[in-house]
Amino acid sequence: MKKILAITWKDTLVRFDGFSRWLFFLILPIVFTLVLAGGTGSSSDKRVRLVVVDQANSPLSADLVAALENSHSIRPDLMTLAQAETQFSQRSASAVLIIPTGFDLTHLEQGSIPLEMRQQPNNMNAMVAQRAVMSVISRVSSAANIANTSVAKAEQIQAFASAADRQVYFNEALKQAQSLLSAAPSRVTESKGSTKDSIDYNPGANSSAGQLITWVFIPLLGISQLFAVERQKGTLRRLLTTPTRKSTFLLGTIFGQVLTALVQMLLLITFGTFVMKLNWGSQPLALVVMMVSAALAAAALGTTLGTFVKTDSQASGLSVMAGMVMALLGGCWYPLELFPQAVQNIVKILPTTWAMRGMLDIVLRGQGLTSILPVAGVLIGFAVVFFTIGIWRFKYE
Amino acid sequence: MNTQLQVKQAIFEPLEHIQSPLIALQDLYKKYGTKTAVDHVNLNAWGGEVFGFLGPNGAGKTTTIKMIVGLLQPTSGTVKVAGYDMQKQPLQAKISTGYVPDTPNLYSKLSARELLHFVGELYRMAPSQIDHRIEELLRLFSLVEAGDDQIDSYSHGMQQKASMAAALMHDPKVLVLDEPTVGLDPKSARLIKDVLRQFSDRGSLVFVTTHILEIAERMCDRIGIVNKGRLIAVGTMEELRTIRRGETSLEDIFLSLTGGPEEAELAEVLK
Repeated sequence: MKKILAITWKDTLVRFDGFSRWLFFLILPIVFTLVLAGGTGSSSDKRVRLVVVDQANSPLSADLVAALENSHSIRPDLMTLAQAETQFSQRSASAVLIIPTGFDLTHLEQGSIPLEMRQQPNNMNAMVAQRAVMSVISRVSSAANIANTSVAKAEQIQAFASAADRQVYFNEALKQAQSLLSAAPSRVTESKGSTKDSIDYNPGANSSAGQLITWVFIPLLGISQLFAVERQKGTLRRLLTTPTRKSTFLLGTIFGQVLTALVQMLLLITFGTFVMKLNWGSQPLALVVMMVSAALAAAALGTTLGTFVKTDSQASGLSVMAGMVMALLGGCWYPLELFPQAVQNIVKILPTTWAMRGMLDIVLRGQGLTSILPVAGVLIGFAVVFFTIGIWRFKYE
Repeated sequence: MNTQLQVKQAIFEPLEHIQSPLIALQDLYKKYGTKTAVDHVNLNAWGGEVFGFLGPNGAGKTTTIKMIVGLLQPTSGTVKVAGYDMQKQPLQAKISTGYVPDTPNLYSKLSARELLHFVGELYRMAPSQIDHRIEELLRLFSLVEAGDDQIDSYSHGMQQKASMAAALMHDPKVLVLDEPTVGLDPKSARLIKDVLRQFSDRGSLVFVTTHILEIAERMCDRIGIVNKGRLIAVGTMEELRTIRRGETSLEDIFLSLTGGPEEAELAEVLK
């Protein structure tokens, strides 16, 4: 055991020889997790954000904003014109609604008032915002139209004594129209289907689990690089002239990398739990089983890869490429449900697919040990197969 | 007495007298496909001597050394190191052996101190013994100041010294060196020769290959000459001179034993 720990410690010193190693170990995984999750502490409000600039500051514009607040699909975010233009030019706002000066009842009585809507091209959120705004404007303007029609009908019967009387009548008509419209019975009965959505998706949870697997699988596949470097530099040859069995060397190297991967996972999970408020900790035993089985599967694959490469650079390129492709196809970057069914079936041959499924079962679906055991079993199966191939094919020279 | 000599005496305490050979090759044979690399070599080397193993390129020196240190399995025959059969008791045999390859083959991202610590743990040395030994060896090889620097910042000579320190870390009975002075400046080469002499004087065996015949002639107590996989001569310089009457230098003896008459004549012309 002392020799295994010595080899583990040596590999750790060799691996973390500079800042760049920490970049790949912790910093980049956290950055990618945050970017793909859309930032920390994201609001539970999943409506599309609509930037609103209220230049009118009138009761009517306030009514419009309030109506937008009640929308199911958009969430108004009030700001100044300059701020809105900056966000729009940086494409951080999908759409901007500008309510111009003069958007009030007085002007509305005299005719229509154009609102300005800016939209990013080819942007689904912008299209959603536009439709929602049109719907809200339709509701808000309905009351005004009713009030205007009332005033016109009243004038047909008897002209108003003064403009002030006309205004008072309009205001009263508008108030009643708004009251009646708000109290109008819904013409659409809403009910939610009992069929479960086939796509379980939460940007934070998916990003945390996906990036964890991606950035842990790549260095574990890099075990192939460790073997290649040891062979290429002759250090393995030299190590085997000491009283060290070949099995001790393999165990020490693999154990060290798996241990490092578990520490890396733990740090990323801690970040996900405390910074992104994700539900990683509800099933600790299931989580430990998943972490260990995923790390073993990746380490085994790295051991097998190590038997097919001859040089350090070959191993480095292959492990990064294989890690990225497997992560992408395994659903670590996009929900697997977005892929065609045929692809979803084919990617079951990848350990990343199972690792992602298991991690999402825990962090997204809150499932426990019993539920994730089949997935962990598949990963252990991968580990057994690839370790067998890797150790059988391993060459010391 | 200077510090370096004091250190040498401290780390090379005399071994008990050992009667049996520290390296015993018995009918050693190695074949690669149809090619014979080592052809039934019999050789004994004892503690307290520096044994030079010479031969032209492709003669089988490296293959023999790899079998001695346990990197290669013989096709037939046996290798015994300090009385242990390298095939049957490899771990015990390797505990008695230190190996310095022709290229340092070190972990370039470790410092010399970290490397020696790692080697000490591989030999299951006690922590206090490891720390003590590291300081001794770093002082001996003048690596104290650079001891915490990464090895990839070392010159070739410093790397070779670190490599030798690693081989001596566990105080082996047998030290096997493959071309130890290649690429070294005269001062470093001298230091290594001094260390090897001191090491053998306390009863250990130094088994060294070199193609620099002058070094072999000056440094080695006995010399074995191998050609085409066969051990064709073994003995002290005096004994070799007796075998090849008329030849006085090792170079002449070597050429007359390993080359044909044409090569010997060519060597004579080129002198």
